[in-house]
Amino acid sequence: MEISTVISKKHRRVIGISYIEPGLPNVEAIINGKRINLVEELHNESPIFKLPFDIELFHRNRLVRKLTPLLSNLQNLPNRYDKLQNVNKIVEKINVKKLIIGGGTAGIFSLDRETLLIGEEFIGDIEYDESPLPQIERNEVIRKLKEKIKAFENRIIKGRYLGKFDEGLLFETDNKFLLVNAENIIVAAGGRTLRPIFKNNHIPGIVSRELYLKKLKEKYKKIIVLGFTNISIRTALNSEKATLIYPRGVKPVFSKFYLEKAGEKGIQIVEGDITHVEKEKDKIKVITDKGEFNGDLIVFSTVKQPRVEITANLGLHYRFNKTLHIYQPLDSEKIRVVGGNIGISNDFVSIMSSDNSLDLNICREYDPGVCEETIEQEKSPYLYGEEGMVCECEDLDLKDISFALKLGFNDVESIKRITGLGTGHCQGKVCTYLVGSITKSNTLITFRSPLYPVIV
Amino acid sequence: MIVIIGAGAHGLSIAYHLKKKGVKDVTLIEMKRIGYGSSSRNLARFRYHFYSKENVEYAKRAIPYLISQAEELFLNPVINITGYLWILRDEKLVETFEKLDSFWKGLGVGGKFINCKEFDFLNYNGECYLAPQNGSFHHDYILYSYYIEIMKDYKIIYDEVTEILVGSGKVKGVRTSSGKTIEGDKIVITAGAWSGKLLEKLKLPNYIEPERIEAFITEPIKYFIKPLIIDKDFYFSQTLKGEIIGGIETKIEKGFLPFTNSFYEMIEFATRLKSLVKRVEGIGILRGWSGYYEMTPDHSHIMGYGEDWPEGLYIDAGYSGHGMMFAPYSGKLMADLIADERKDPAIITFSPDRFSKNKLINEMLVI
Repeated sequence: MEISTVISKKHRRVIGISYIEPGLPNVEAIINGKRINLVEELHNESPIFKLPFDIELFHRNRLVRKLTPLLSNLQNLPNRYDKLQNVNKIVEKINVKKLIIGGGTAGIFSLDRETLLIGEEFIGDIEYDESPLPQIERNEVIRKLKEKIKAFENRIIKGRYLGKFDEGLLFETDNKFLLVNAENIIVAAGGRTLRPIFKNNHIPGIVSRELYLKKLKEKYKKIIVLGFTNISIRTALNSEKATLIYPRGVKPVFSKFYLEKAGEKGIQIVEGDITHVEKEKDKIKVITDKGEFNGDLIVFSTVKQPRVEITANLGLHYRFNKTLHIYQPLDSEKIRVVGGNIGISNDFVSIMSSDNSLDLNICREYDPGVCEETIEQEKSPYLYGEEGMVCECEDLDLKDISFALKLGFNDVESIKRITGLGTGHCQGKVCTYLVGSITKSNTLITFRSPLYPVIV
Repeated sequence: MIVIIGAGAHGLSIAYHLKKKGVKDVTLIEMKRIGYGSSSRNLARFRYHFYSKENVEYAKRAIPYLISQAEELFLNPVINITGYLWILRDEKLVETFEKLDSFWKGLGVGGKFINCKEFDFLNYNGECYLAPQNGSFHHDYILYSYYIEIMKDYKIIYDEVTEILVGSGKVKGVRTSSGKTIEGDKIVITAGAWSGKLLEKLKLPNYIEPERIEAFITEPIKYFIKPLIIDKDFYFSQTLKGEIIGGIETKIEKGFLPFTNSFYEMIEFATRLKSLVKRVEGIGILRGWSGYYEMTPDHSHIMGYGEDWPEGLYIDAGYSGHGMMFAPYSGKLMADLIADERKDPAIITFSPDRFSKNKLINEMLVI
């Protein structure tokens, strides 16, 4: 299997990488002092020894407490960081009237003559996701996007938002640090899918929708999709053959359009909890309480969680959507959020959100749950079982979260303070949303600047 | 009824120690969340090495108490003896430390002069001073241990106290920003940097001013920097999780500045770290934050009450950058005072009356 693996920080177990977005857990590793992109470069590690780790043991065992300074030497950490080449970036300050952060469908469609767009990638999901769209032709949209990118070439910069600082909004480009001050901002930074929780969810062969669509779909034809929303079906539609599993007790939120497409393609949709996953050579086996499923790959596509760490860092409030179990940012006077960044997964709906012409009926029909909460989802759609890894960077499992829950803490911030959740390399871009969904917490953590490591 | 204003390290420690005494009626009022503002933002180190005799003597009781609490706290406070290492780049600093060294030796907490190159991760060859008795802990685990012990018995109200109510020379209760009145015959101000505002409202002199301090933390690397390193205005240490954490002392106006970070300060921190420490040339800054030091005119804390204060009003605040390490012990002394009227001599040394009586503490070592 051509999926990189790393040894986890505390348990020293093998984790198969599952993300492609820079800054998410284990997309990058430090190997012998060098930064390696594990998506671009195949790298496999196997542990010499494994360790039991448990936050309850850490806090409550007398011997462990005494030996903590010594035991912490057993963590798997880099032993040096070598100097990067061409690191001497100049710092430039600019003022703009209107700024767009993010270059996906909604971002590009928001561009006009007085606007500057800074994005990490352009066009976005629609380029990789070949599933059909309601109302619009996918190729037509891509053509329009490309046209617009060409027409506004000089108003588009490739760069990553690193966070708000006293001097302005910090972006990093190939050769500069940009400090931008803008009168008005549109945030169109999109969303991402997050690894759901079940026993052995860390093993190789469990990947995100984004990694699958961009890198793996040509090679892995038969997939098992995890999810309960339209994008789960859309992921499945990109494969040759797919089974879709949503967790037991979760109410699926599919639109009529995609349910029909799933039917036409013969995608099997089942409800079930995962009791066991097993990798056998190039195959992966999923055993649920409803039966056994085989595929080449497990692709999680639960729901697109908007990149709220960006909007929250900019100072926007957010709310918890009880139907989709996503956190959705709320606009302020000067900052408007559009497209995938408010939870929209459908490009047709996303385009409408970019020019403020979003119609509630259309949103309801094509992107159910996003614009209004239709049902209250009691159970977290990320929970396929009662154990599994939750925080990849700090190597924490569901039982560690339960330790904090049993003490009476049920907000993400307190759970972070007791377990260390979200304090690792990705700074909570995955696990805080997962734990937020499990606890139905109204708040997450404070997403501080910089949002990604700054190297100077 | 005892009302504690502020659920930071000191408010929680007092509550914890009151509960240990079996005191029943205690309410905490917290403006934002546990530890907000200072306690949850600090760099989690403890030291004996202060400039003034008063603070060294206080530390000599407070630090062993902090260490002894490791046994009884619910969560792992991760106490680690690491030392503090000062880099003495010029003759003047060496002279200062020669004086401090004999002063500290006299008080039984002597350190030693050492060649910096004994710390082979430093790119500096010259004179250093090591204070080996100092160390680190995990601030959140201490805060939450206190909170866990009291959460079932004491009420916590999330609201902001706007005013302390006084009638015929005695405290009556507090009023909050949501318009509630909470009655109490003993009111304890442990509101950190915000404590001064409450004193002002009572027309009492305010000795506490907030000073924003920025901190930065790097990506994790295998633990190799044991002591906290102080290089004039630049300081850093390493956590057992592997991150290098520290900051730069910059002159900044006092006041309630927003909890933001400066890009240029972050760059300066990273640049100085990389020039001084080996193996981290390509390390990234993972996160920054800021918090308040609650500064007093003599950089030392205020505890107890003033002679002409309304009856039943107490304070434990103004720690000027060393509040977290003193919180366990101060909480104990304050609980003794509040519940049993037992007045430790330290309560007199650090009383708010020292300002009007001109008995200031000569504390110059703020880290």
